[in-house]
Amino acid sequence: MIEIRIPDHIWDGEPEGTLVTWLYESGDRVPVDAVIAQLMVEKAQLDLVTPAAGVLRIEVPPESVVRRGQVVGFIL
Amino acid sequence: MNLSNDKRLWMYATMVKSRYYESCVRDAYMEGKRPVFNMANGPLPGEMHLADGQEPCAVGLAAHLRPEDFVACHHRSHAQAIAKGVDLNRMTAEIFGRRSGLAGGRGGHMHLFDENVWFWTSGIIGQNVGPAVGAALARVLRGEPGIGVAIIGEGGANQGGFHEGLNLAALWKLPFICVIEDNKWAVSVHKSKSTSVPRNDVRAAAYGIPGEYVEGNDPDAIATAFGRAVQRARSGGGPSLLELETVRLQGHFMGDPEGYRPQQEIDGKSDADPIPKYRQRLMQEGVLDARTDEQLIARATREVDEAFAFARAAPEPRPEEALEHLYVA
Amino acid sequence: MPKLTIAKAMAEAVAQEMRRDPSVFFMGEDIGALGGVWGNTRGLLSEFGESRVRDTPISETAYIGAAVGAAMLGMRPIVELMFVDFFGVCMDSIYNLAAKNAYHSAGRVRTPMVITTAVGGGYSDATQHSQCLYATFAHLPGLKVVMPSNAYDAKGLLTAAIRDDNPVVFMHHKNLQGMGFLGTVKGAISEVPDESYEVPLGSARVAREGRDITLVGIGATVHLALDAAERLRAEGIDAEVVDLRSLVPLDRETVLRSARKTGRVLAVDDDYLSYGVTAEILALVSESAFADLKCAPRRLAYPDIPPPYAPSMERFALPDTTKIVQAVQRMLSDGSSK
Repeated sequence: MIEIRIPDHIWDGEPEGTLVTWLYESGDRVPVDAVIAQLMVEKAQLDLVTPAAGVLRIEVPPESVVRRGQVVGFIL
Repeated sequence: MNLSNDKRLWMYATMVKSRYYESCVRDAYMEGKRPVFNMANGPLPGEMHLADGQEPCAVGLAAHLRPEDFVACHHRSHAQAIAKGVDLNRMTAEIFGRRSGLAGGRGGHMHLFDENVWFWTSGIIGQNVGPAVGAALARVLRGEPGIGVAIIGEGGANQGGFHEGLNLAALWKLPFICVIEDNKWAVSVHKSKSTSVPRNDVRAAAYGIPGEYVEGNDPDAIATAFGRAVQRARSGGGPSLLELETVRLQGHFMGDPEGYRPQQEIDGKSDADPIPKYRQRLMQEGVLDARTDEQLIARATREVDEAFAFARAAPEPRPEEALEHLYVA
Repeated sequence: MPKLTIAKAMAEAVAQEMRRDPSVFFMGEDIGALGGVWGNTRGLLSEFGESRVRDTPISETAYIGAAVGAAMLGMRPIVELMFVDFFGVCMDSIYNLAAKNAYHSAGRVRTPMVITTAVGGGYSDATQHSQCLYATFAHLPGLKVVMPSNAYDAKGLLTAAIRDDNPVVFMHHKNLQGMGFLGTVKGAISEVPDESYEVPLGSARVAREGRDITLVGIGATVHLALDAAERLRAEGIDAEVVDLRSLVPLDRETVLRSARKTGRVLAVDDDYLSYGVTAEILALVSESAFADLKCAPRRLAYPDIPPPYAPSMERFALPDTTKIVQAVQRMLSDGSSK
């Protein structure tokens, strides 16, 4: 089981952002290097890339506030 | 730069040809429109905008232009088209709305388009600047020779598209020239009542480009000034703005036909007519003599007569052909 | 296969075409360094550089006019009209110049350009930034007009549009784009093949098969119709949903086939009601499928008002799933839909 963690350096400044959308559902098989979620900090949009290929398990619902370093899901 | 005498003779002959062409257009246009002037009648229905008096603006430019130079002209385009080398037969057929016209009869006199010499027109004032800027951009991106020239009237210099186009061309330092034919009249409104400055060359400063006003409706002066602008454009020096003093010899209302015949003076406007003045200068300089003049006039007359004969003999389009060529395949 | 938002699918289509064809280039406001306010040009500037990915001044007449000229001389420009509502400042370049070059040259001169533009409201951007204007563009001869409802179609349609030798207006709906600040419609995110492919212009798609009624939509209203179909299923009503995908050319055959099959048509559109796309669909089925209709065809569209600011007013105006369900129920019960 691999943690999907919001990278520590994905954005500067504000500790908090938003996980706006998951592009896949829990149980979907995601390919390597896929963008699996869209994050937003202020008005800038950022991609959350999967750490590996595998089956996605979502832990944090869309439109949640998230912090850098937070675990938001797993690749099984 | 010096203009060769061959070039000057070419300019003179082309001016004569344009003037005769416009007189033939006028005669054809007025057919069927007497005694009642109904624009829809006759072999040339619709609007008509003649360029009598503005010939120096056409030949002064074309003296330096090549087929790959893109010219975006306005609704009063016949002299410019002739000077640029547009196919005279197909242009005339188009003005007559015939099948063998440049647009197969779909465009008419205001929408002349000959891609063999990249001569393109639009009847919407000031909107032709953008495409000429884009043509210059394409040449730069493709590493091809050729510049973009937009020709507008002094009325068009108050239209937003003119200002936007100059800014963009200057910003991207494109091989583009904007030429303003200042005949002082935008339909019925004199320049002094429409334009916040007496001369538009000063507006070039707003875009950081060179601007020049050329007085006198003089083909030699226009050719010299335009030649400098062309040189600048071709050598990567960026855009220029030129305003050319000229004269619209025809009134706006096409109600009263006055046929023009070469070497005759136009009633009340003989002083402003650039053709006799240029003829006189060339003769005084020994560049032109009476015999050569006769020959040039005869040849011009013949070419124009042939084009009109071609157009009048050309078949009408089939009505359902109106549905064709909306898209390219 | 990766899943993409429409924004990413658009960017991928452009990038692949720009790699394939050096004559393709992009101009528009904020499309360079920012990657576009709609996210549809992200990555392009760093890959292709400033010459081919050009941020422009705020001068649509100039740069869209320039696209017309550049297209005539061998380039394939893509230009962005940031909001369709801005068409007023530059419409001449689009409908009088780009759209008429083929006609003015008797088919000899191509104007292969694409205008991408964002449409749609529902997020309080009010009167001048929320319009759809599909009919305004579809009405004018010489343009092709398309709008995807999902990322797969977005990439395919945009690829086809770039390769088409005619001017194409590629509309994309803000609610479907996948931009965080606008919310997301999940159905717009779809699997998108890595490789290049085209979705032909002028082809509609049956998004859901059904027997009892045909719901015709485009863009955002396709998703509303699909949601409505799910709710109707619980009531024993089996709705077919047609995603037009293309307004010009219009795939009349697919619409008629569906109309003849179900006998009932409800057209749904978030553009102004009168003289609109829904009117065109109703005219089509009335003229050519009349004998097969079981009730009068109906339409549901935005009222003839500028989009209001206050959320409650805007919601009142917008088509939504409930309104579609209610209209269908009325059509099936007494043949009317008020």
